Parts: sequence; C-alpha cells; structure tokens
Amino acid sequence: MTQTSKVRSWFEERLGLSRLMAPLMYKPLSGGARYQFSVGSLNLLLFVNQVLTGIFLMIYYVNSPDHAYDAVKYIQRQVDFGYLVRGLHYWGASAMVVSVMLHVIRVFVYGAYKKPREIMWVSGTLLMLLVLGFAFTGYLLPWDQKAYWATVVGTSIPGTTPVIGDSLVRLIRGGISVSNLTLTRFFAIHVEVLPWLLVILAGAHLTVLQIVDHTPPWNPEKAKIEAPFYPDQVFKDMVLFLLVFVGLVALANLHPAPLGSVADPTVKTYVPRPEWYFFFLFQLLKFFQGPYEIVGTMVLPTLFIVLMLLLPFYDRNPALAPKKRPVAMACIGICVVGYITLTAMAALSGKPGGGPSTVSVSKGKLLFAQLHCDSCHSINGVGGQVGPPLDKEAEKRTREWLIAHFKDPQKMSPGSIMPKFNYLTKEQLSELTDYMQSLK
Amino acid sequence: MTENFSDSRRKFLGYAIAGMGGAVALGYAIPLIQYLVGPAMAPQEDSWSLVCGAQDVPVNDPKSITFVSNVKSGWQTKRVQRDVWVVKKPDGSYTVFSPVCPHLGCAYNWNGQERRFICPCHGSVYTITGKVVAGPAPRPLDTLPVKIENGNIYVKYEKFRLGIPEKVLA
Repeated sequence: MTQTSKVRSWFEERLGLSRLMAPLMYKPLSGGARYQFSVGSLNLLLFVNQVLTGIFLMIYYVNSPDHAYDAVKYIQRQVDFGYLVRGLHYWGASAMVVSVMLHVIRVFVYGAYKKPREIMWVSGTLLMLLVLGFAFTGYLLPWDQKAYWATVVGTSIPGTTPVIGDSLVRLIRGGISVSNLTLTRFFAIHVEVLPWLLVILAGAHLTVLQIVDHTPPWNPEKAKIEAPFYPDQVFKDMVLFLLVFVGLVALANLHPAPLGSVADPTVKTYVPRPEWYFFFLFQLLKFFQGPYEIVGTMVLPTLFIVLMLLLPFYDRNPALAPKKRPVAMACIGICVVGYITLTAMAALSGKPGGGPSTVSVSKGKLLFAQLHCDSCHSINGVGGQVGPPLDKEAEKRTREWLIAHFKDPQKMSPGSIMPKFNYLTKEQLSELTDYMQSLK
Repeated sequence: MTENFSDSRRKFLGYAIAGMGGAVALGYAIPLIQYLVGPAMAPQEDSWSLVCGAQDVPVNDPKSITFVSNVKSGWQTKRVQRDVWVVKKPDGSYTVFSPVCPHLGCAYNWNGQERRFICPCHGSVYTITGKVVAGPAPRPLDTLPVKIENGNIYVKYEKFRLGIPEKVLA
C-alpha cells in the first residue's frame, strides 16, 4: 500500500466520504453525458470565480466615495495582476449572465420545469434574479461616471411605481440621491446579502436535483443511454469551464475591465448606459414615454417575472418534446428574439457621440472657477447676482451665441457690463460653452 | 442499456479531469498569490520633498531638519512628518543622512563638541561624513538622495534594512 493510499484509507475509515459521495458521483445520467448539461455546472463554477476574485478585490477595495475610485484604479493599474483579478470578476459577471440565460433556455426547451421539478424551476428563477441583482449592485462599486449615472437611472426606475415610488427610491438609495449611503448599502448587499442568499438557494436547487433527477432527453431512444456523473459528465464540465476560463483570461487581457473618470454628480451631459445585459430594459423604456412609462419600468418586467415563476403551474402540458409544445416554443422564441433585438437596438442606436465629452465639460468647469465667473453669476442658486443665473440662461442661447458673447458681451447684449474674454483660446471658449450647455 | 466503461477509459478521464482542474487552479493561484504578495513587498515610496533652503545649513555644522513628505501607501498618498540630518560640505555640496542608526534603528544625535554623531542606544559613533569610528554599527550612516533646485534642498526619504553591512532598501 503506497503512502497516498494509506492516508486516503485513514480518512476514509474515519469520514467515509467515498461511501457518502458514491451514490452522487456514480449516479447514472439518462441521456448520457452532454455539454448541454454542463451549463448548470458552469453557473456554479462561475459563481466560485466571482466569490474568489471578489474576495481578492475586497482586499484593496474601500467602500467610500472618497476612496472607492482610487482603490479600484490602484487595483487596475498598480497591483500585480490586479487588472486580471478585476477582469476575471468583470467578465465573469457577463459570462455568468450568459450562462444563466443559456441554462434557463435549455431547461425550458427540455421541459425540465414540469412535474415533479417545479421547485427546481422556481428556485432557478430566483437564482437568475439574484444574478441580475449582483450585476446591478456591483456596477456602482468602482464609483466612476458610468457606475454613478447608470445607478442614478437604474434606481429611478422603481420611482415610477404609484404611491410608494418615492419611498421605494429613497429606501434603495439610502436617501434622496445616489450618495455614500447608496454605495455602502449596495456594497453590503453585493458582498453579504446576495452571496448568502445565492448559496442557500443554489444549495436547495442542487439538493432538489438529487431528489427529482435531471430531465431525460425527450427522445426515448436517447433517454435510454446512460453514463455516470463521474467521470463522464464531470469531464465535459471541466472542458467547458477550462475553455470559459481561458476566454475570461483573454478578455481581461485584450479588453481590460473599463474604468472611466471619477463620478461627478455635477456633470449633467454624461449619457448613462447600463451594462449590455440590461440593454433590453434600457431600450424598452424608450418605447414607453410619459404616462405609459410605468408599463416599461414596472408592469412588463414584473409580469415577466411572475409568468416565469408560475410557469410550471399554468403549463400543464405533460409532453417534453418541443414539437408537442408549439405554444411554449413560440413563447421562448419570442422572448429570445425580443431580448436579442432589444439588446442589439440599444447597442447600435445609443452610442454616445455628438454631445460634448465629459473631459471638455470638466475643463470648462475649471475655467469657470479660474475666471471667477461665479462672483457675478449663480448656478443652482449659488454665486453672485450681478449677472443672470447661468443654469437658466444657457437654455435660451445657441452655442454660437454663447461663444460670440464670451468674446464680446456688449456686442451680443448691448449695455452688458461683463468683461470681454476675447483672450481665451478657441478650445477654452469651446470648453466653457460645453460647460454652460451642460447646465441646461 | 449502460455504456461499457473500461477501467482504463475511466482512469484516463479521471487524470484528464485532475489535469484540467490543476491547470485552472494554477491559473488562479499564481496571479492571486502575486496579487496578495506584490504590494506587501513593494518598498514604501516617498516623493521628493522640500527640506529647507540651501542657505539655512552652515558649512560643517550638521542640522536636524523636520519636514513633511508625501508617502504613497497603496491607493492613498499620506503626508508624513520626517526628519533628516543635513550636512553642508566645504566644497558647497550637501549630504543628507537618514536619522536612523543603521545598527538597530535608534535616533542618533550630533555632538558639536566632539564633532561626532553618537547613537545613545548602543554607543555607535560616526564622523561628520557618516563613517563608523566606534560601536557596533555594521555600516556607515545611510545617505539619502538629495538635489538642489532654486536654492532649496530636496530629499527623497528612504528606509533601509538594519543590522547588516550592506545598505539595502527595506
């Protein structure tokens, strides 16, 4: 007996892990080992990736608006392999959303939500919502412009709820606006609440799977094929995860996780866009304006979630083969095509461009301070009263008028006592105008 | 019908799983360990700091000067109070000594009568050039990078390992 076998049998005698695990590991899978089945395992392994890289990110991260951005910049640019750890976490989040969606589609097509697997489906749907919750709360943490403004918009959505809307927004943000209190509660939810909920729900999901077994292929011939979970299915799971891991490493190197400029609540020209997986909602909101806004913000998403949760209870058709479930297949088809179309529309249409860059606005803001414009003009009620308030004035004027006015105020507004700023360069005039127009 | 699994196929798959799992585990472990260790082992970085005006130090009369240095600590830059010994040599150049005795880290002083730097802890004695003339100190006083700009003395504060004959950054 080798030393390794001796150690193994010593533990085996005391813990009996092999005996305990054998029924799970060697359980025959009807339909044999398949890559389609690996997507569920991939979800779990990607979650492990998120937890592992998340813990390491927390080593240098600070959940305070004063330091969060600098800490993330430090991780991204200075810590050894920091870009990789953050990249694995950032791209891992996207991979997890894709993987969860593929898993949901696979389960739907296999009819795996039907009796006796209703609890699997309901817990799975809740797990999907948790993954989206992770994505939403994690987005704010770098505290850059994108994070801040996407959260401002995202947290405004519940505000369209009748009666309780305002209170709901305050509750989510921890106050009236997105602030340090939003960051600390999002951080707590992201690293404590959601992970534990996910562990509990995923545990329940996998425990129930052992009881109800996975759904065999609808083709009876294929269903007769059997293969043990270990090593056949585990081998395929590992191949898939290895490929995904290599892909994540490549993405982290070729397209490092983005980090824009630090969050600036005073810049009003920033066009916030959510991460790609929320594009569908972003695009949907464009279709519902004014009094119908609530349809896009609350009614449709809530209806969709309720319909998903209750699916096993109203789809009583016992057939598993897609051919015998035309209505169900049409529904999933519409959902998938709708999601892809809305995502593509948002990706193609909403590309920022045309508007002034945030850098230009920031430079203009700096010039505004350096030239002491605020000694005569006010913005949001702060500043001098000699000249007109600029947050109201910029609305009335064109860009050309503003530039001409800076150069020669008396020419554009006869009687004005404002000094001439004709010594400013063309770029400086443009930056100052960008800042003025951002105040609209 | 159960597929026919030979022992060798099962073994092969087992090794393949272990190989792939090991590769992924190494793929995580190597960068994560370096991520953890790198910043901990990085030397502390002070910026060049204004110490005093060059005219404030008389020739051959060491001055202990306290100044504020910007110290980078991870993502944060802190303002830290430092002190150094500045010596103006007869040729008009300057030497700046770390205030830390290279023996075991005590603060030493200049004795104007004996014209020696003397460490009160274990009795190490140094000349005005930093050379050891008595006591257990294993090396001369540690000099710091110095530059003169616009009539001011700038120093980059550094820390060194103690108790060894070589001057090595801590």
